[in-house]
Amino acid sequence: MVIHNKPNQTAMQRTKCACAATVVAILIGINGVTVQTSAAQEQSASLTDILKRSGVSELVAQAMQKGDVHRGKSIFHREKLGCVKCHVASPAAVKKGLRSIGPDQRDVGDRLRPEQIVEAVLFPNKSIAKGFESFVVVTVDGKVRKGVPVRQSQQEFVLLDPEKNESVTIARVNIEAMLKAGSAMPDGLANQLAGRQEFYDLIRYLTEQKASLTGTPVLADDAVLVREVSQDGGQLPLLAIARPDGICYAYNPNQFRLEAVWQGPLGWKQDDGRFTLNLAADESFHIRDKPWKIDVGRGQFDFKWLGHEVTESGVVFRYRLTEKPKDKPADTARRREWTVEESIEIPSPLKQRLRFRIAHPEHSNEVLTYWLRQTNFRSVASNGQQAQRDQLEFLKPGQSEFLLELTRRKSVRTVPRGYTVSRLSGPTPHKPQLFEPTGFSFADDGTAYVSTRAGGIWRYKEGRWNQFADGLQEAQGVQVAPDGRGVFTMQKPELTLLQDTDSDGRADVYSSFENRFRFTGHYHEFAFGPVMNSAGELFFSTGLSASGHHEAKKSGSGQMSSALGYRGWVMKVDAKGNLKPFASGLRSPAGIGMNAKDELFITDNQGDWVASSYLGHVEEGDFLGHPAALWDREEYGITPRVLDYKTVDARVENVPPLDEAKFTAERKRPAVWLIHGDLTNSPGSPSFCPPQGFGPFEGQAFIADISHRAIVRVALEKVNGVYQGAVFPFIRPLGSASYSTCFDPQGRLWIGSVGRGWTAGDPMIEVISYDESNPPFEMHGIELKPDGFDVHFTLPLDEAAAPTGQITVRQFHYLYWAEYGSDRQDNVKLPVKRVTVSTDRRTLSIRVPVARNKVYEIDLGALRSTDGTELQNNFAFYTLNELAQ
Amino acid sequence: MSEFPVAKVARTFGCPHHTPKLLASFATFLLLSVHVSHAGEFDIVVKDRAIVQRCVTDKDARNIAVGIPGGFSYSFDPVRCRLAYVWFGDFLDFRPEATGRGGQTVNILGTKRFVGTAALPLRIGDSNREPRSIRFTGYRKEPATGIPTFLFRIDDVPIEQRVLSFGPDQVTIELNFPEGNRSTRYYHMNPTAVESVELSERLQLNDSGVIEIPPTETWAQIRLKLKPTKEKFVRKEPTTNGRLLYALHCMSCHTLDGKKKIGPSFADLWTRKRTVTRDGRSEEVATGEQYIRESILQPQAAIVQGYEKANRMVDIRKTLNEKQIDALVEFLMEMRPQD
Repeated sequence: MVIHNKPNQTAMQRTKCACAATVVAILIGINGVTVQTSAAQEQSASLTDILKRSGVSELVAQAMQKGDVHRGKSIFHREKLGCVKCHVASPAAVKKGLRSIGPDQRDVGDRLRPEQIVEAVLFPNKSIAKGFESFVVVTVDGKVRKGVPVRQSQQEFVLLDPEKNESVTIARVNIEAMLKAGSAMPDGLANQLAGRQEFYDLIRYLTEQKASLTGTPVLADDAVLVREVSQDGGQLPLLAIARPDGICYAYNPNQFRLEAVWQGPLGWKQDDGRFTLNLAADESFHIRDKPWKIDVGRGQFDFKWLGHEVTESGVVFRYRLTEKPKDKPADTARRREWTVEESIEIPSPLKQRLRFRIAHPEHSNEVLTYWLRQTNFRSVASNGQQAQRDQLEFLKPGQSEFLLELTRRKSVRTVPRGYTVSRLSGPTPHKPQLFEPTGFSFADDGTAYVSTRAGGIWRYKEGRWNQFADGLQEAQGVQVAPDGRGVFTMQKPELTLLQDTDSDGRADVYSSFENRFRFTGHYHEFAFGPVMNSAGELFFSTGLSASGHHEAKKSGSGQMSSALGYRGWVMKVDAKGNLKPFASGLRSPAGIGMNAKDELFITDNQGDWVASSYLGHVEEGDFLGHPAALWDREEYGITPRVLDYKTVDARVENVPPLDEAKFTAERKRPAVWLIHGDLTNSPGSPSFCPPQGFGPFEGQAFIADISHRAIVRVALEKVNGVYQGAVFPFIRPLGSASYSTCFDPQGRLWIGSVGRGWTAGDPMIEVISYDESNPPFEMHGIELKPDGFDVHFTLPLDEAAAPTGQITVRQFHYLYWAEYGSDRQDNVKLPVKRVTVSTDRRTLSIRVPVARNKVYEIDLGALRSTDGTELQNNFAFYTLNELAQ
Repeated sequence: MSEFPVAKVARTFGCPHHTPKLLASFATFLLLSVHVSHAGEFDIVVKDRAIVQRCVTDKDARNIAVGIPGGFSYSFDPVRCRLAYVWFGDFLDFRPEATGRGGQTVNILGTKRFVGTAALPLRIGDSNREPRSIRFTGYRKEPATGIPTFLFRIDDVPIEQRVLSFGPDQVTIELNFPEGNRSTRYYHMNPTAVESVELSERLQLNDSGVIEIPPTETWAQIRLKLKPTKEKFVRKEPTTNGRLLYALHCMSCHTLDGKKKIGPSFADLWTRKRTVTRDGRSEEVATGEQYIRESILQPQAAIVQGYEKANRMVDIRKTLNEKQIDALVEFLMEMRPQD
């Protein structure tokens, strides 16, 4: 009967939906494009879908192999497709000084990577080029217009309607309402093509549309050359500067900062006079927009651009900083001003000196700060004071000369040879369900189980997805039980066993397998896992609370704390279901993993008592560093040995003080520091490389990082019975905020990215596969010797490699303290005594003095293998806990 | 407890297999009577299957929300293993969990109705003794309907509980004792919210207001008729009433009648032009929507002459969402006399 009623209900809903759709169509479908597309989609519904299913990297590979540029050109100009209408500016438009409606086709190959071109054609709404979004504008006289703004100014707005191909100028004061309407490019365009081949031809043609192929390179001869490159939206033009030595840079006067540095032509000039900036080199330069602040961000400036001047030695940029009034009205009476002259020296493309001459106001005793972004400088030095953790450079009061030396890391885009990253199409659940993969597990038959943050478990088998479980509370992991008993998952309040008793593909029994730990509901009380050893024992970990639940905390401020009841712990559940508090001292342990030897590892995230993110080896009884978990120990008598959450009150007014000297002595050091800022900021689970399928890294840990969108690799060694070792960069960047990792039965590495977080894009799954015929050239591992390090390589080094002079080794350590994170302490460059290459040319021995409890940054500079491959991931950090005998 | 004011009615509902039929009749009833509201972007909407969603809905963080087709929802407390409360209407607004850092308290879309059972309602063998142990073991979902049966052990006796509703203000608790039991089971009521109770065969409401389930029974059904509530559920949504927004966020500094307060009066807006200071320069601007919007979003961009030294206006975007700002702009535009 319930089911009997269903058709009525859906029929009602359907009617309603249809009405809603009509309304939307009337509102949005002004140019008719929408209508036309949907009709086209129905006629040949398949090609777009087929192509989408193939995966972007596969399509790129095919297009490069099979696509034909000439055929592609004629497809692009085919009237039916309408590409030309929007992506080539009509002669009439050029005469009026208007640009094309869509991004100009002629340099698309410069602006977009082939993958991005495929995505732009298949998913036009996914990422819309800046300034090319279409708008619906309602004017005060009630007229509705739609189009792409082809010219904007403070006063007016020129919209070009792609359908009618007419432009209309609307004064901004006459705008009643304005609504973003996505990309003007129709969805499902590929359906109008005759088949896959035409798609490959079109893509191939577009990838070759490069200004560099058609234009003349613009270079500086014997004097500095400055070109102003216009920007959208009434902004000041970008200043692009070429120097006679072939190094170019761009300065953005809207953001008052250096924007990019590159080697090669400044850009290309076309026959029609058009100039295209060499955008391939355009990478964010890691200086914040409007970088100056007063104090440590306590005061703000208004920035005023004064102009630039070309001098004999280069270009000088001038601007004025005016103190922004603070809250008190009295402060506004005198707004002090600093005038800045900035000049830029570039000894090499990776090294810049920013030189500032600053005229101070008369009465100023403030420190000025210059803000950098959080990642990716190899070194930062200044004649001010330095605080690397916050990436601030301090300028002392009254200091009129300020020099900032930045050394960047080389190309941040690395994918070792032989590895391919491809995106796996995931299911697309409706809001509020999101497909944010937090964990993977593979059943014996190859079925993938994927846990997602918004509470589902999804199954993937033979190209099909189905939802196995729903309604879970932030599931942070999944583990297939070995005996067909079901699937374990970790929810915030409990470890759950899911069973599909009627084999219909959906779990019907949700057993609360273990829930004896505190959960107060604070958002930061995540629980991670479970992982299982070969004896069937399960391990999970619990994160501490952030603010708001500091029941047991009195010391310091801004620290994480526990609500008591096994938060900040690794818990073990044996095969009989007995629970044991296993190890303590975790803060925000977003990663948990087990290697083939049943050894358990966790990653923790930087914060109080955690100097940097790290990978820790966990054995029973260990204390890993954050003291909040210690109150749960038996000796304090607060928490029962195994918590009965019903009978223990969460709030304990008084907790005994902890003996810092005692817990400091007891603390087990991280196996490997994951080097906050340089390599990771928020690492997820370690996955250990299987013997087959993923190249020469068996037993090594691969860890994804949310903020860096990258994978790092850790090679561990046991010295004096203690794990330590090296962390290397591996692949970056990935598609989004990469977090979860797992090797599938074929040895491919699955990466799940969440859609939330500091640098998140869309949530997604990426799969990294390895081609055995194409081995990578990487450091394989670093072995500690009594007098230095032996660096082992996957391939023999080039004969020419005698790299003594270019290898640098730096030594530092971190502070263990209640503050949030630690700067590098005593960061010194060590004298490298000798570097030798082994006879098989696979090992480089570096002789340097070494000491316990230090971290070593080893930078190899430029190295090549015998087959001429350059070592891209050429630096590593070795955590030294124990000295080699 | 002797004056427990409920009607003591015992009635047979038959065996549990007949329940879907009853449920269906209720679903029909609800289809005709429940007002269908517009779902929010992040709402979890119950359609033809029941939904169990674990999320924080109140201070008892482990409570489990259940939405049954037809507009009945309840919260199961797995710590005390009891029905915590019910609500009639829509299910959940999941935005606090699905956006930002997540993990925030999720909004239930109805008025919480506490159903009048005690904090630890079920006792085994001795009505006056609180359970020695309570253990939640999970739930089972009926494959066809998704309706959950909660599984737990009280004093090590396994118990299965299902909660349904067959009409407005009605809540039905079904208890199943799969292993049978040799002792009487007691279900404690708290009469404040209950108008009447109907019980399945052989169940007794004793003089203390406690329901007795005799040792012979492996199944029990308790139907509670709740006292009607006067409380009306209003979905918590930020207001888009422009006048109200003005009163809440603007009025303390800006008048509508030309009087000078901390900031310029809005009456001044009804003139077509005003003189402002922009980037240190004096400038005449037209006071259209564009200008009003800019003044709200970037209050320091162009400052009305005479107010350069006034207190800075707060960043209203931290307080109001886009729709609210639109509503505020619309209100200010409306206030302008038509010419």
